[in-house]
Amino acid sequence: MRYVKILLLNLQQVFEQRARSFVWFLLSLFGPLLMVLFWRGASTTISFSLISSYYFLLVIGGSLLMSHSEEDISLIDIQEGHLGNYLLKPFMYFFAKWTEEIPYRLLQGSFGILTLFIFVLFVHINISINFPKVLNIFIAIFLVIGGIILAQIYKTCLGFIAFWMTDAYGVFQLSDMLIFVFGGYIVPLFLFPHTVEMISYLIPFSYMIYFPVAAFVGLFNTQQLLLILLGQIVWISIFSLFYKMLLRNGLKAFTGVGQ
Amino acid sequence: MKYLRIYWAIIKINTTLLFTYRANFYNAVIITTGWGIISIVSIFLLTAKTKSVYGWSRDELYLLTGLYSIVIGLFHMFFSSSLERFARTISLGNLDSYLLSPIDVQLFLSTKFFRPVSSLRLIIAIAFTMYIMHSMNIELSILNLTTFCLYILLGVILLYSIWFLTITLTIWNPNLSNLVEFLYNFSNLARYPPALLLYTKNLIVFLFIPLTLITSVPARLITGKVEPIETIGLVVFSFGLFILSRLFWKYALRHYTSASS
Repeated sequence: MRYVKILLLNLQQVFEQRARSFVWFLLSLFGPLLMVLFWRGASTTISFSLISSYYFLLVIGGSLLMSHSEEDISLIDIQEGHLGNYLLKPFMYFFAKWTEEIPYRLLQGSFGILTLFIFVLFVHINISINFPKVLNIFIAIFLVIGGIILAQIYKTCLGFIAFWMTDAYGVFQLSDMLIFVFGGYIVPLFLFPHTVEMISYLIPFSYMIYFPVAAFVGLFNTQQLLLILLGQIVWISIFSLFYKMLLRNGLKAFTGVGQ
Repeated sequence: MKYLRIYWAIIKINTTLLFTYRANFYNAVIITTGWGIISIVSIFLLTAKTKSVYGWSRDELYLLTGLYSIVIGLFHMFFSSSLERFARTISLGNLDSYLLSPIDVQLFLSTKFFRPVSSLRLIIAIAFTMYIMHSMNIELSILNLTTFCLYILLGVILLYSIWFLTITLTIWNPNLSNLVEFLYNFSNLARYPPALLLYTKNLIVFLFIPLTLITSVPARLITGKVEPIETIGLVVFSFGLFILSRLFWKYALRHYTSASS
């Protein structure tokens, strides 16, 4: 219950800066929209309906699923010493940060859903959400939840790098590059050359954005969806272990600075 | 002459800064090279299963990407670092000290930081563009090369004007510092043919067409397809938007209320 209260307080703060959130949302919107226009004029055998559905759902996926906690954790909590405040409170650090991030995701995700409705109603775009079985809907919803959790744990671990590095900006940029390519922001991963496609299925980035979005487009059957869910659980477990290890060792290197 | 001396000092300071911290230097090299490569790889991925897009062949699209990387490389080298800090300067009330300095404020704010590491991206872009031109059997005469360089310069001016016009808005709302992040993303539009926007038949979308002229006009010059109207468009938009950005800046300054704005 106390986490819900914190979540509501954070939600209030996020709404205070809704214009800023809207600009962040525009960032998630612009890339996929450009891709839709690009594919509209492309002479190709790939179904435009499939491609446009993918990119439009990516707008929601990008704004709802992808956490951006790493800079906050590294710059404010670790470098400026605010981590000390969290350590003294009776909350788990991970959940405290998550309750700060969720309101941003909810607001930007709702911008995404609203935009999708506007496009469907006024621009008459055709979005095909394809579920041959009811079970697939539930698995896809679990994949979305799994994607949110995985992205948050991954970004938290990434932020912890600041325990050992003075300037982690380069690492963050490197991570952004990998997410951009293997998260399916450029093209859906099934359009990659076969070997690269196989590699992208083995690394965590595709489980954060690509698979949850592609599941709604209907690119996978039930068996494949279950395998993806299993992969997601494996990556969440691996990063949970990393999280514990990094926090434990990082705290030994951390020096809180007070006034 | 005074401005050249100041800019030379800025270049020297920023170059020294880059090499002062070795880890930062490696970081900067990796980031710049990485984004430069991704920009090229992404067009390969996008065109892997397409023959043409809006009448532009695969090679022409590669050429657009190469030219875009040249323009963006130049822009990042000379302007983007300074413009990135613009919103913070305003929200902290630091603009006051700029306003009191005996040089042009817009120029100083736009060029205070120089990013030498972007030359790597520029080198990658030039090498890639030359490779594509070679594979398309394109040879440039000295006159064409000069015109081409002039078009690239106009492209940088156009991009700068759009960026400056947009971030001037932070004078009214300094919280919108993330507008710069959006502009980084928005500039990507210059990588694609103008037909991409014309297709939408939407008046609001048409407003973005100047951005696509940045690379499409030099690309069409190289391939020998450029129309006079496109050249005129690039010149008019570059100078027109530059003047507009200047006027808008002067207007915005009247609303700047120092640290409490």
